[in-house]
Amino acid sequence: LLKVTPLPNRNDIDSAMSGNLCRCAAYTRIRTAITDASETLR
Amino acid sequence: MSTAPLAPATGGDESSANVADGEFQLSRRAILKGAAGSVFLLAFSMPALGKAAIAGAMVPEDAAVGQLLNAFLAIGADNIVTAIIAQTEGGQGNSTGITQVLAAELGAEWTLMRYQFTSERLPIYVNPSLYEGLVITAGSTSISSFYKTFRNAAATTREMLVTAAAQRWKVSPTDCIAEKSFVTHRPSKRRLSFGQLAAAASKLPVPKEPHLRSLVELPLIGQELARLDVPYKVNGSARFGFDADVPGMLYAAIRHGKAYGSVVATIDAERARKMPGVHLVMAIPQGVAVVADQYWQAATALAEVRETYHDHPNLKQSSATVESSLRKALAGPGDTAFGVHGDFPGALKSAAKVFEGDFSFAILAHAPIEPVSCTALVIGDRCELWLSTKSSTLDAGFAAKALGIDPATVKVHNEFQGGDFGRRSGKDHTTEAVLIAKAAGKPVKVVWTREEDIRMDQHRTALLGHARMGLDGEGMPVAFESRIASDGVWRALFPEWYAKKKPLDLPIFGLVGSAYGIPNEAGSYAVTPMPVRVGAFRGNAEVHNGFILESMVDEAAYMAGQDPVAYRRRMLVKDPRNVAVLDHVAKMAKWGVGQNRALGVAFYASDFYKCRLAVIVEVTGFPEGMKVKNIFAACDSGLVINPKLARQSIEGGLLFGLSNALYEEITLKDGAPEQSNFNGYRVLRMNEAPDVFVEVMSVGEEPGSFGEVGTFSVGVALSNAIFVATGQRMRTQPFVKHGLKLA
Repeated sequence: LLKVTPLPNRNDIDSAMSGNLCRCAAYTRIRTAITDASETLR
Repeated sequence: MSTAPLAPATGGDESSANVADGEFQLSRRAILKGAAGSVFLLAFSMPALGKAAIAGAMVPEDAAVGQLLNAFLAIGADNIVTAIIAQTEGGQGNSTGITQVLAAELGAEWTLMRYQFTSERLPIYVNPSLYEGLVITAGSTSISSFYKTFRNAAATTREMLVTAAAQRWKVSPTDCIAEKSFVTHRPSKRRLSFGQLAAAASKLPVPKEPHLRSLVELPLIGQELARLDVPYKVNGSARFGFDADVPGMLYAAIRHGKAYGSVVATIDAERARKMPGVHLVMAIPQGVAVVADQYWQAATALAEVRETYHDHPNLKQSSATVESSLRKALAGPGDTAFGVHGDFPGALKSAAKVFEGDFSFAILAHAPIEPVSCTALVIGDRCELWLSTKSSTLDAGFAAKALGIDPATVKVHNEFQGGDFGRRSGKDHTTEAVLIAKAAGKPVKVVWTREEDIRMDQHRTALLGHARMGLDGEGMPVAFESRIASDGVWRALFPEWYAKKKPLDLPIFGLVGSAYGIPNEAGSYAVTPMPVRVGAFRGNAEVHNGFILESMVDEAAYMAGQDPVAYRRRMLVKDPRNVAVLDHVAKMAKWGVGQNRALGVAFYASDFYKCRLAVIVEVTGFPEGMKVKNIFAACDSGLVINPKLARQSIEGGLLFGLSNALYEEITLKDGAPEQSNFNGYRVLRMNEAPDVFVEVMSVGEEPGSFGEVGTFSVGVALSNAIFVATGQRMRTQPFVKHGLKLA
C-alpha cells in the first residue's frame, strides 16, 4: 500500500486492508498505525 | 514508552534449536524475522540457551541461587523482577496489567520488570470467582479476581526486602522505603537494590499480613504503560500453541464426522498407509486421524482415507429443527429465573400500556485466527501437553480421563492464545492428542484446520426470547418479563458443576433484576440442548439478556414519548455512577445535537463484572444502505489499572459484538455446520469498521472487568439506532440476514 500510495487516506487504507481479517477487531488501531507509518516514512 | 522491557529474563531461541536439529523449518515466526532483514540472520546464529525460552513456563527449579521467588514474583541478583503469570494472555493485555499491579505494590522500576507465564496448577492460582478448583482465565477476571492476591504477594516480598535492608544497616524498617527497585534508608539516603537484597530477603520469615499501600502510594496504577506482549508479537518471537515444537514430534491431520458426536464405523486406509511419511491411521472419538512425519504428508494421506460413521440422531438436525425445538421449549414453562420479584401478572394487568417482543440469536463460531491445536507426549505414565488453553486444569483433566491417569501427573505447557473469545478449552483436541500420541509412541502435534475449528467449535448457543413490558400512566416500566430458551454453557461444558447448580446456568444471569429497578419482574429459562457442542462465548448471557432488556426499554421510551437517554437516566438516578456513564456517553456522541442523525443508546450494569457501560451507535445512509458510522462508549468498571488496555479491550469487544450482531451465523444442515471458513462465516472487515470512541472512568479502589463488557450493549444500541433511522426494531440476529440493507 505505502509503496503505491505513500500517504493513504482512510479509504485507501480500508480498501487495501479489507482482505485482512482481524478477529480481535483492532481495525481502528491498524488504521492509525498505517497512517503513523506513512508519516514516519515520508 | 520506548524503554518498555523487551527481552524475557531467560534467553533461548526456537529457531536456533531447529538449526541444531539439522532442519530448516520456515515457520511463521521465521518469516516474520525474515521481514526484519538482519534480525533473521542473527536469530539463526544465536546459540541455543537450553531453557524454555520466550515467555515460557517458570518452574521452581528455575530459581537460581540468590533469587527471591514466590508464586507470583521472582527477583534476581541482576535486579530484574519477573512477574509469574498463571493467567493466559490472549491479547487482552492481562500480562501487562498483572505485571503493573505487582510492580506497583512492590515498588519496582517498570523498566526492570519482566514477565513469564507459568502453567503450574498451584492452589493459589485457582480462580476464586469461577467454578471450583480451576486455574482458568475466563469471565474477564484476571485482574478483578486476583487483585488482592497479587498485591499481597508483592507487599509480602516488599516487606521482606525492606527487612533485609534494615537488618543490613541495623536501622528501623519504618525508616526505609521501597521504590524504583531500590530500598532506601531515608535519613541516611543509603540504598540497596532489590537484586542486592534478594538473597538475604529470601531467608527471612514470610510476613503473614503485609501492609498494603494506599492508592496514592501506587503511582503505576492508572498509567498508560505500553503493552509488554507487543514486542514479542511484532518480532515474531511470541510462541502460540500452534508453534509447539517438541523434539521428534510427528503431526496428525484430523477429520471429524459430520454430526457432533459421530462415531467411526469403518476405515479404509489402504492407500493412505502406503503414502510417504505416514506412520499411523486411526479412529479417534469423533473421526479419523493420520499421523505422519510432516503435516502436509498427514493432510495429503487423510484425503485418501475413506471412513464411514454409525448413524447418529444429530444427523437429522438442521437450523429448522433447532428453531422448532427452541420454539417448543419457549412455549413450555421453563425454569424460573432467580431474582424474580413483585407481582408481574398483576402489574401487567393494571399497566396503562403493554407491549411485547420476540428475539432470536444465531449459533455463532468463535473463529479465532489461530485454530486450536494440541501437542502431546505420552510415554509410560508421563504425559505432557503443549497448547493454548484458558485452563490448564481442564486440559489436564481431559488428558487424564482419556488415558485413565491422575490429572496431577499431567504437565501442561500453556502458550499465548491467538484469540480466545471463550473458545480455548481443549476437550476434543486434547483428548485426540493424548490418544494419538499414546498410539504413536512419540510426541504428536494435532493440528485442526480452520474448517475443523469452525465446524467443531464450542459454539455459542442459539437462543429465542420473548419479552413483555407494562408501563404506568407516566410511561415508566412497572412490569417486565423475559423468557428465553437456549442451551447452557454449564450443561454443555461442565456437567458435574451443572448437576450441582441446575437449573441454574449461564443464560439465566441478568435475565431480570437490572439496574432500572423495575418493580415487578418475571423470567424463565427453558434449557434446550443444541445438536452441536456449546461453550462459553465472549459476553455470554449479558449479550442476549442485555439485548432483550435494552430493546424493550428503548421501545418503552419511544412509546412514552421521551428521549431514550433521559428516560433511562430517570430510572438510574439513584446510582450516580450509572448516571455518570450515561451522561458521559451522551456528551461524547453529542446526543440531541444536530439534525437527522440516527443514534441508538444502550446501558448495561453488571455486578459480576463490576461494570457500568453506556454505548451509543450512530448509523447513516438510510434508506439506500446502512453504514455504522460511529460507536461511542463510556465505562466505569471501578479502578482502572491501565486505561489504554481498558479502552482497547472495550473497543475490541464493541467491534466483536458488532460483527456478531450484524453478520455472523452458523447454519446447520444434516447435523453439520454449513460454514467452515471465513468465506461462509462472515466477520467484520476493516472497511466496515466504524470509528470507535471509548472513555473509561477510574472509580474507587476495586478493579472490575473490561474484556467482555464491550460486547454487552453494542448490538442493541445498533438495533435502537436502526429503529430511529427506519422505524423497524431489529430483534433477530444476524441483522444482514433479516432485512437490514447495508451500503
